Amino acid sequence: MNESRIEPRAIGMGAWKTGPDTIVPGAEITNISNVEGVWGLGLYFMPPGIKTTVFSMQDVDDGTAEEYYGPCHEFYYLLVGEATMYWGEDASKIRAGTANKVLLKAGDLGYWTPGWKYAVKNTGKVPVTWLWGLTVPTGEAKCRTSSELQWLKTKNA
Amino acid sequence: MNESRIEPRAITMADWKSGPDDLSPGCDITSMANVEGAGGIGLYFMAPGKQTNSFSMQASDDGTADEYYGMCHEFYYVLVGEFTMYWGEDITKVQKGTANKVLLKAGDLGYWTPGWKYSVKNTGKVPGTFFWGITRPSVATKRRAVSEAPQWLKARPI
Repeated sequence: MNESRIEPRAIGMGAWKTGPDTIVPGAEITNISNVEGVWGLGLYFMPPGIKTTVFSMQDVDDGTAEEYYGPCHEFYYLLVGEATMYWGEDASKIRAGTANKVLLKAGDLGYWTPGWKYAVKNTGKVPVTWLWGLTVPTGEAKCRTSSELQWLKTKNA
Repeated sequence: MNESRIEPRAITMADWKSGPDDLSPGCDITSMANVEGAGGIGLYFMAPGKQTNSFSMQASDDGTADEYYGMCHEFYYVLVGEFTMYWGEDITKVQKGTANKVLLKAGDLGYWTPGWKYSVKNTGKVPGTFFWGITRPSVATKRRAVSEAPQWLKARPI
């Protein structure tokens, strides 16, 4: 039996890293756990009317998004409220809210595929909360990220 | 730009595959999506007192668990209720609830690491729900699933 295996565990609120998302004023981000080599997991909280910066999950970083994650897969599972994800190739349209969009309501799963840029806005009337999971990018992506994604930087170091 | 890329989308209840978990009486399972290269995600619903069949995420299949998944990582994010995960190497203890255990309450994340056998029970007073995600094992893994609920679970009084 492999003695390097790790014991299963509960990761309660006391173990989470949480605080303001410094690049999205008004929003809070919680990092719950990293699933080895596969996922980062956490929660996100956003007041009505607030929108994130633009982040890119494209193959290459064209420099027009505020953050570059690399070709990741991401999901949001909406726990409370409503959110609209704007997506496409043109960062200016995403910022202006004139890009393609996907509306999510509580109970919906949003699946954000690699190859696009994104920004999400709370388009509901109440604070929104979702559970997020983000995969480790493939290839040689060099992330430009906020502290939110420090785990990705570590994985790519 | 890679033209094989897939458009992002909402996956709502109408798209989910949902129904009774035939292997664990009294439980319902919902599969929401497969995240390419990473694994599956969904919801699980259990009545108070119910327990799942036993599953192994060990490096090799010793045949004692009801199902063998291979060396996966799994997480549960508890939305409602309370659960206890029994885990270890001895399947009899896992099934009887005398193995190591981890209690999860609403808001907790359970991280189920590879190398152990598992079975989860709703040890709360209300129907429980958790959001689950499980990674894929290596391609060489031969998964094994039972076709119906195991006898130890069918015979168990609630």
